[in-house]
Amino acid sequence: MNKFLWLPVMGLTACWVQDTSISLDDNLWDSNVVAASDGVYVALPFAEMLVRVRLDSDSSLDLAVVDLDGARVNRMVPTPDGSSVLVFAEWDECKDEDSEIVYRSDCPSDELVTNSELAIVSDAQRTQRLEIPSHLNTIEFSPDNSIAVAYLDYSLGGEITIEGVADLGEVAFINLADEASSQIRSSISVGFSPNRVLFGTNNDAVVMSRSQVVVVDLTTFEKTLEAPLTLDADQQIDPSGAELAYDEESGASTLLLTVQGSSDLYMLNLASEFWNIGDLGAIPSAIGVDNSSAQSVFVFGASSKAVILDHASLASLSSSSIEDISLEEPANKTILGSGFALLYHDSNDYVHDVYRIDLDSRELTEYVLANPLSELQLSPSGQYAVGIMRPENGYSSNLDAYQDSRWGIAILNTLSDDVVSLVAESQPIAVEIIENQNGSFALVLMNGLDYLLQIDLSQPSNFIPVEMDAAPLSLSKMPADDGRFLISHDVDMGMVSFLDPTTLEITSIDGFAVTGLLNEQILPRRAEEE
Amino acid sequence: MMMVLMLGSAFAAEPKIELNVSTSNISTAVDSLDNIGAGSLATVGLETGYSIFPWFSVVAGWEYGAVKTQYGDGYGYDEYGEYVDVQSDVQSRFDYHQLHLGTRFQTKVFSRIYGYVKSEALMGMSSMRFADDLEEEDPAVEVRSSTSSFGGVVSLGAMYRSKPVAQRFQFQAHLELGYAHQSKSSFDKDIGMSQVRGLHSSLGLGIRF
Repeated sequence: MNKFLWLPVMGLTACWVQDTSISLDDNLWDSNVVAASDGVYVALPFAEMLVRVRLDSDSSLDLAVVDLDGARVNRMVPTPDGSSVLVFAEWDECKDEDSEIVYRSDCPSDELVTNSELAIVSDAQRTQRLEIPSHLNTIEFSPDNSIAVAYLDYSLGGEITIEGVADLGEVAFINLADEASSQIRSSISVGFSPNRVLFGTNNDAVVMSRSQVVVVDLTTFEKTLEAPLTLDADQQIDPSGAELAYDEESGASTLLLTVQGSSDLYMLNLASEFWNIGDLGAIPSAIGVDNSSAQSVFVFGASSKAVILDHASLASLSSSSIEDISLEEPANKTILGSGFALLYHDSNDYVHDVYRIDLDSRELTEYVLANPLSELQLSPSGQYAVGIMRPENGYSSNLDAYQDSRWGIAILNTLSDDVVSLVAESQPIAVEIIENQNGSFALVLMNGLDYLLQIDLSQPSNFIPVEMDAAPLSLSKMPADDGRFLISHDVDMGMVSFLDPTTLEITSIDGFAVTGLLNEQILPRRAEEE
Repeated sequence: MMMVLMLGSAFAAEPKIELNVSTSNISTAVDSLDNIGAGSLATVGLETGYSIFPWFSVVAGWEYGAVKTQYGDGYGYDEYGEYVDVQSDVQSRFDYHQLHLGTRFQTKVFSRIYGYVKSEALMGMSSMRFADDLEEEDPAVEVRSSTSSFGGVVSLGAMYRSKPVAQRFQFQAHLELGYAHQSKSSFDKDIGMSQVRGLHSSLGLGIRF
């Protein structure tokens, strides 16, 4: 009898909780969340799902699973008004129609293919599904948000998957306004490597590609103009920048086009289809267009000057009529404010200057920052500019060396011309500017710190830390009528917060990333195929 | 059930009661449960039986098993530059309770060895708890979800019964193999699916009086 006494011991020890460790082959959630007017859309790569999360009436998580019919999210782009989200997705199809094949793992690898599509999602529902080549990785929206234009921007990277053949010059036009329209999607080929789409004032889109410009009517989606940049078929001219300049007096729209490695400015009058070419004297790096004053500003990353052109004189512009404004240091970016342009450099370790040029008087104001800039943004009123300064390898000593070696926040007052360079505790990862009845403020998130700074731009040393539940990853604005800010956090189970900028109240929702963790990997759309 | 017991009491020459402690292994059939390390589940249970006739018993019991899982983010470098298995801040605990009720037909094979066939109805109750730290009473992030399912199990087994001790009770031990099948059930909060289905084995011992 005694020999069986070990059995109850074994039975009781089985009561232990099994401890396991599992390595997930993908993230539970993608912190690049998308804010829409009906909530926040979150891709769950591991579960291959899309969910919409928002606060319910008692400030807890309201979660809705978006049925993409078995497709997984590659990328999401919200419409500018937040009314819908364009979801680039893909789904697996098993070409073997054996009814025994149910799970993805059942399908022979040589029979498994991946299909791409674009889903238009609104109110947590897929409202449209469009077959679209997976390589169309860039979306632009018409000013009224009725048309989305998708094309391949190769500089963004990513894989190009080709089934059969692919037209790398394809531009897809998607009619978002009329979902019932049979012409919801139309594609045209615009030449090799389209890299910029602009929207004109006559309901048309101007598409730049290698060595040519194409104008497309957004009603018919037909090409109305094809303008080559060269008459020599062997010559390759790749646009580097483009803007549309509008002259209210003449009513003319002119395409301003800069090309890689050249100081030439191509100017195409879209009404007369007349080209003019001027020499800017250096290779431009950015164009800023101010249609209210009918002027455009050009900056040159490797040349210490700026050029301002009057839109009325573009047709007759020649090299001799271009007037330079000399700067002490070069600038490669420009931001237009009301009646002025801010010029700065975000990729030169030796440039500490920001310039303000008055577009009426051409008066130049220089702001000297403690460190070089990595980004700069202007407040809606134009009174303040806030930039992130990066550390530099200087030869300074003492306090200068201390500041040089650290990240910082620069605050410029364009009215008083005051400039303040603040030293940051860690790298600022996101800055947003708000202006309300209480004043102008910058909201700053810093890497690894679980609080947000609200800096009073009128008194930059006056800041308020706002505690958060976890370290942040990103900060973005909710759609316009919402007024809140959205923060995603470094929490593996998923966490986003909503910040009310007037009260600084933060409300978080979390835990959504485990949604679908126990879902089965069933091959989608099998019945549909049969 | 009451009817069977009453009939048993009325007609059985010498009704016997059994109490067993057992450990079992049950299969979870949904692929996705592999994601929490619950592809098969070891449980511990208690079972009671009532021998209405020497060849027939009514049995009922409870089983419990749990799996605690730490999720990793794959391999990467830590703050000291060592290449390590990076742990995420996601942990889960899967708890499974099973109630079963059924009948057992047994017959003596030789000496003190009995063979039996058992069929039982099952009710399973599964719960999931995800948290950034399961040891914390109030973790920063926590999700709880549960589901229940129904099914049955059929098994064949062998049982050893000792000589009566003090003419009052016997020790007994059993080993059984069978097949269990429960309905597929969805966890709430869209966590996913759970299903017990597949081979079932049990080993246990107890007393009979």
